[in-house]
Amino acid sequence: MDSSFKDPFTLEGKKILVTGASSGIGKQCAVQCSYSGANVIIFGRDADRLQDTFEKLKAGDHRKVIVDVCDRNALDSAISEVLQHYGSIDGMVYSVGLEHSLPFNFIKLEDYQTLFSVNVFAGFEICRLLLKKRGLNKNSSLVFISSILSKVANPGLVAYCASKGAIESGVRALALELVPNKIRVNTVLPGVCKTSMTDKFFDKLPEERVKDIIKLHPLGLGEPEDIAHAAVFLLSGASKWITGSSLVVDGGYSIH
Amino acid sequence: MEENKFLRNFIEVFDEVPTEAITMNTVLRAIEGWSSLVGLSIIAMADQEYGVEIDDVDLRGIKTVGELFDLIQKKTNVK
Ligand SMILES: NC(=O)c1ccc[n+]([C@@H]2O[C@H](COP(=O)([O-])OP(=O)(O)OC[C@H]3O[C@@H](n4cnc5c(N)ncnc54)[C@H](OP(=O)(O)O)[C@@H]3O)[C@@H](O)[C@H]2O)c1
Repeated sequence: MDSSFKDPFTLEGKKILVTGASSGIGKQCAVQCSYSGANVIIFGRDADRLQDTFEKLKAGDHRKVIVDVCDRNALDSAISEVLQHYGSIDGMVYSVGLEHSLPFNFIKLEDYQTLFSVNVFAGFEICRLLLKKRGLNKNSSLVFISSILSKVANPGLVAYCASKGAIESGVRALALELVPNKIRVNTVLPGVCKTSMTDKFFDKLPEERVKDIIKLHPLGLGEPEDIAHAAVFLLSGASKWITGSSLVVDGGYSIH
Repeated sequence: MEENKFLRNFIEVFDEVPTEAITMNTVLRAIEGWSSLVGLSIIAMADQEYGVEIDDVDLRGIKTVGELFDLIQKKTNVK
């Protein structure tokens, strides 16, 4: 056995910030990061749900911060609080997101503004604050949970698709800009996974349409862990040659 | 809640259907162009015009435009 061999997939010794950690994909990312060896900082708005995630983490030096990522001042203090404790961190998963099914005729300007603030702007603002406060170590990795709907369309989701497309192009530009800092930036593009967001989405659709959507996923609907595993890969050294890319994890949805 | 205003809001959901073709007795799923997107539009109309939340389970229990009117009215009164 080669004793110098180090598992490139481990997050041992890393400190990772996971946003949207109170539910669904973000929650599973936080849990998986802790089991992969990281110390995890979790962000969310709902105290009870965030506590539930916190209790599911494997023992370590973890922290939880209740914060609305759209509240600029609160976000600034939250990041400062994190950096005060850890000095600097090694990566982030941005899994904050809002579902938004509305036919085009009904989408108002405020809807776009809300959706972009939550799905896009707050994620980039967190990165900016981390950089400005010199809170990202060399070889850090930033992972945005985007959506396969940034590439494949669906009616009734114009604003949502637009916001996910914005993440994709923004991430590519940011990835280039952060090359000198030795920081990688990537996205994961999930297909439909079983989370409360999907429940809300399905509640508004007729049963037949829901069945069609499920059928469009050759491997069936995804579990949050399917996305978490991809995120951990992108956070780990195993992906050190990957930046500005979009990792499709969609059960085959986009093969069609 | 006023019936005529409701009908106008409802008809607006459909781009191509002539106004006269829809009355309170019209069967929803018989309207030309009915689709899951129309269902979404009705959910959005109920929310934006009347501030009530309905979902597909509610819609499934409804046959006619009049029944939709009754449901929204009932939900408005409960609030
Ligand atoms: N589920 C899917 O099928 C699917 C598919 C493709 C992409 N995605 C993407 O994956 C990400 C996670 O989705 P999910 O399915 O896990 O959804 P979810 O279960 O609804 O979780 C969304 C998370 O976002 C947080 N959040 C929302 N607004 C916030 C705000 N202003 N400040 C702080 N936190 C906020 C929520 O926290 P609170 O507890 O504070 O509400 C929650 O933790 C989203 O970006 C979504 O678009 C999901």
